[in-house]
Amino acid sequence: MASIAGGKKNAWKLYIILLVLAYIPFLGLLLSNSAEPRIAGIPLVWFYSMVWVLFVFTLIVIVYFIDRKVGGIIE
Amino acid sequence: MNEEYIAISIIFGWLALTAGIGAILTRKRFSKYSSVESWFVAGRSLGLIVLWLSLGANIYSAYTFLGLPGLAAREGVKAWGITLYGMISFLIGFIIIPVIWSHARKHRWLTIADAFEDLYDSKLLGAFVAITGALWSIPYIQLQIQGIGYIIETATYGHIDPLSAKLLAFTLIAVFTIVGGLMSVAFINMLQGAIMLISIWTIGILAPIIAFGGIDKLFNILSNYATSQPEGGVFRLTFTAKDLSWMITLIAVAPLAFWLWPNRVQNIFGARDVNTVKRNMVLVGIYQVSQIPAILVGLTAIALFATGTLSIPVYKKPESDYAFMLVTRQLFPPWIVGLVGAGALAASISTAAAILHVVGALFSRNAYQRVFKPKASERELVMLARVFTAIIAVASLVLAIYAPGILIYLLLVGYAGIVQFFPAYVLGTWRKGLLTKYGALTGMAAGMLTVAIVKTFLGRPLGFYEGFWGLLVNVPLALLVSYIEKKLSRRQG
Repeated sequence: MASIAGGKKNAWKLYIILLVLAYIPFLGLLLSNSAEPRIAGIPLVWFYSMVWVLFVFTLIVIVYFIDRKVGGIIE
Repeated sequence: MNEEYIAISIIFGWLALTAGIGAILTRKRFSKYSSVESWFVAGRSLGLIVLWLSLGANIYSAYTFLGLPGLAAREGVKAWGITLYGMISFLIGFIIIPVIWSHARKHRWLTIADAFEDLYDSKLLGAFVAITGALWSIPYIQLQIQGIGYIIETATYGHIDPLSAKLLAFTLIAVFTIVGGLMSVAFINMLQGAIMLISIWTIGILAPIIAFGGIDKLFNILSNYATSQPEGGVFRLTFTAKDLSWMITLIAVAPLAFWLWPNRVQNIFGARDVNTVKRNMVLVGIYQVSQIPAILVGLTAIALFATGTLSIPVYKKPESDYAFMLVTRQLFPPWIVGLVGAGALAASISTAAAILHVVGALFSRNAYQRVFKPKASERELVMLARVFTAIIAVASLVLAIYAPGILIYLLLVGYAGIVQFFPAYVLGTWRKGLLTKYGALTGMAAGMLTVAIVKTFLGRPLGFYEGFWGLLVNVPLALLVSYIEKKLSRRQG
């Protein structure tokens, strides 16, 4: 029972960390809110926003694999 | 054969095929499950691939194909707010959906209103959620009707006028909704999801290359356009302070509503097991990545206008919402217009049908049966569900004709209303007893009223998203009323 409770607690910690990570790039958006320089022909802020979208997708993939390893809230 | 006939024949051929398959599957499957369970959650039998494609077609509709490119064409960089809140929704979904699914299975909830009724032991609250859930779905259905109308208009190369196109859109939605329960809708959605993904990636990647030779050249044109756009143009390559306020409140609030839409809850409740749900959160994220090519199509449209290749002013509303189809028509042959139109149309129809299907079921089961007639027969409930569905559909059609809105903002208004369920739902699940039923009811009602007032009269103060203002009123009021109610009941007890 104790290990299940511990597993759930770990899962919650992990979820909260990943959620915070998903929102942190907003701070960077304030700094990268510019059309120049361009990266691969794409304005900086557009490139940054696109990377942010892909970053959150990566977080979802990461949470899935970690969740499988440590066990999620619901099993 | 004329180009308009080629495109429209492909579109209607595809629709006839999917409707036929859906009808056959519904007839075959209905004997397998008890009818109520089958109607509501497909007997909790949807496997990974069916659920994935079905959820994709359910979530992605006219707003991805038309609304998002339209927003990119008209307002530029703000389009990223939409893609981001969607992606964050899947991360949040990964965390909360398994819990919701598990509760639903344990307590045998079939609808979101069942959940509220059970959590607060209140039929009144269940009925409130059923009815307001249906009402906030109206803008979502309206956007599908408008969107389907735009696709038909464009795919027939202007041979069908806007009003007839919307009436035809309404008819198509009605036919698909009548076809059957979630099982058939799920299978139809599966086919729609497949064609949708292929269309969006193909057009999104190829359009800027065919039109301008690459993305760098596309942005060269857009840089010039942003500094010399016509009067009334609001296209931006960078965020203004107000855009940033809107964006942060949007990405903080809208993901909370994402999984509370009655039709999405139904899809989730229909999943076979919790691992299927979790895997789906990852896989549905792939659809969200597909919004990137949709944004590119919108940018191609405005660049085509800027260079004089496209004469329709896509910087204006509602012309901006035609961007996706106009780019396809401008750069690709009619048979591609037909295929893309079929994908976009099918996605929109399947979403509208899924919402209508669910709101009717919600009303008959959680409002009519629970509050007014507990002994209503199953036949009576299904009949009433269809009548209520028809009322909501007609209301959406009337709004689409007489008060058309920008597609993406119609969607966001719906989200702003639906998110008002979130505090009561989450606190009812994780902190049972913190909110009372009247606290929850007052908070949700006041939040929804605030959204309506802000949207109608105040025009988004400080740039903050309407749903955010609603929550600012909703949460403190729910807590205050609950506190007073508990205090009074302690005194009386």
